[in-house]
Amino acid sequence: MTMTELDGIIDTYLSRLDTALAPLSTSRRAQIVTEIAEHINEGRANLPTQSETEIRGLLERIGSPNDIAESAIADEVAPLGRRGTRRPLVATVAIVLAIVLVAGDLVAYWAESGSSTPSMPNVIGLQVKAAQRSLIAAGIAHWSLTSESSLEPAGIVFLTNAKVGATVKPGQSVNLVISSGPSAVPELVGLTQDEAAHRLRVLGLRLAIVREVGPHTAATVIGEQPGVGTRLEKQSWVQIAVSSATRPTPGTPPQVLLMPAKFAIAELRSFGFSVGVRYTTTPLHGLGRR
Amino acid sequence: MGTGLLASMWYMVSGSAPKVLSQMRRGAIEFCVLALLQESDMYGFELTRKLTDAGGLVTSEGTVYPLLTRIRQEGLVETFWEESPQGPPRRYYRLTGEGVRALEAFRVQWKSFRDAVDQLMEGGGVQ
Repeated sequence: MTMTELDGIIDTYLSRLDTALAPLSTSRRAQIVTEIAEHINEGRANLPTQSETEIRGLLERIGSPNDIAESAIADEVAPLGRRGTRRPLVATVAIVLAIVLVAGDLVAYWAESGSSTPSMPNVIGLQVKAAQRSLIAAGIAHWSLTSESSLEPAGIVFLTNAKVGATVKPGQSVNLVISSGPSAVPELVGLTQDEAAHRLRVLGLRLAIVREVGPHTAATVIGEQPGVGTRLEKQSWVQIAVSSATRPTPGTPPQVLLMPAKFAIAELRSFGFSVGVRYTTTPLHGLGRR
Repeated sequence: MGTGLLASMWYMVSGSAPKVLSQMRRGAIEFCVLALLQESDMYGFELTRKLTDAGGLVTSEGTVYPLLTRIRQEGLVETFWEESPQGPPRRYYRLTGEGVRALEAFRVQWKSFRDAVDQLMEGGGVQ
């Protein structure tokens, strides 16, 4: 099996997992899928060979999406050991400790940096470890890390929520976004349009469609651009050619806002519209179509 | 934290042994995770492997992640990133102060619960 076909097996698994976790809150669902994807990456790097058998073995050890979802839902509905009457005491203790900890942090800032207001250093382009050392040296003690696919190499900080030189207040949490590398376009040919849409959504990629009349009763993907395995930044567009026996509702143009022009033109034409193109420089929120 | 857990287990018992054991497993796993993290900070892959190697506690590695996200949301653990010599950067988990306190409370309660059940299971009656 090729590398991209192996990626496809993993993408299918993560898609199914994401679907199975639908009853959970959005943040928890995303967190679980992300962390299991990280687990898969780590496990994959440890495999003696990159083969279908090894990958399927890895996914089997992780467990079926339904089992994981079942345990996640059971956990959410009745987390054991978290019941009532102790809470006021725990809350009081937590508040007192929080005050003590914040006071401690403030003392640490003053001791370390000689001033009580640290300012945000430039950490863009640094490896995570170096970025964190930089924050500590600047006297910043609270930060969070999130991971996103981008064209930057994996492990590099490419976005933060604080401007370079801005004052960081004590207790303010700075967020560093680390690249997890680009997403690879998955194998979509043969899937239904809905499955392909879901697959791409899970990867953070957007969908453009070119449709034609064909023998399939359910709209089925027969081609894709760019090719399988192409590495793309999150929010990039993937165009799929879809074959379907049913005709679209006449008079309803498909939504093509923000698509690259060539995909938008192809999609509109394939739905039976003739397309006129006008180029203007305009702020994004001013875009529309007639 | 421990008392609440053990008390709620009694309420959930409907007399079926497998059901009770599965509830107990689910309740205990959380504190096993905390205990492992007390030994050392660990990344997800490492932690789940250790749990499955311990035998019988987890059916599959993936089922640990919902638990991890919940105890993180509850402030018992936090995560941080570290690069690895080969492969992708690793998300490490570590206990917070509240996590240590929860673990210690459970330890005390678990010991008395376990000793009492063991004694009665032995069939010797209360010594």
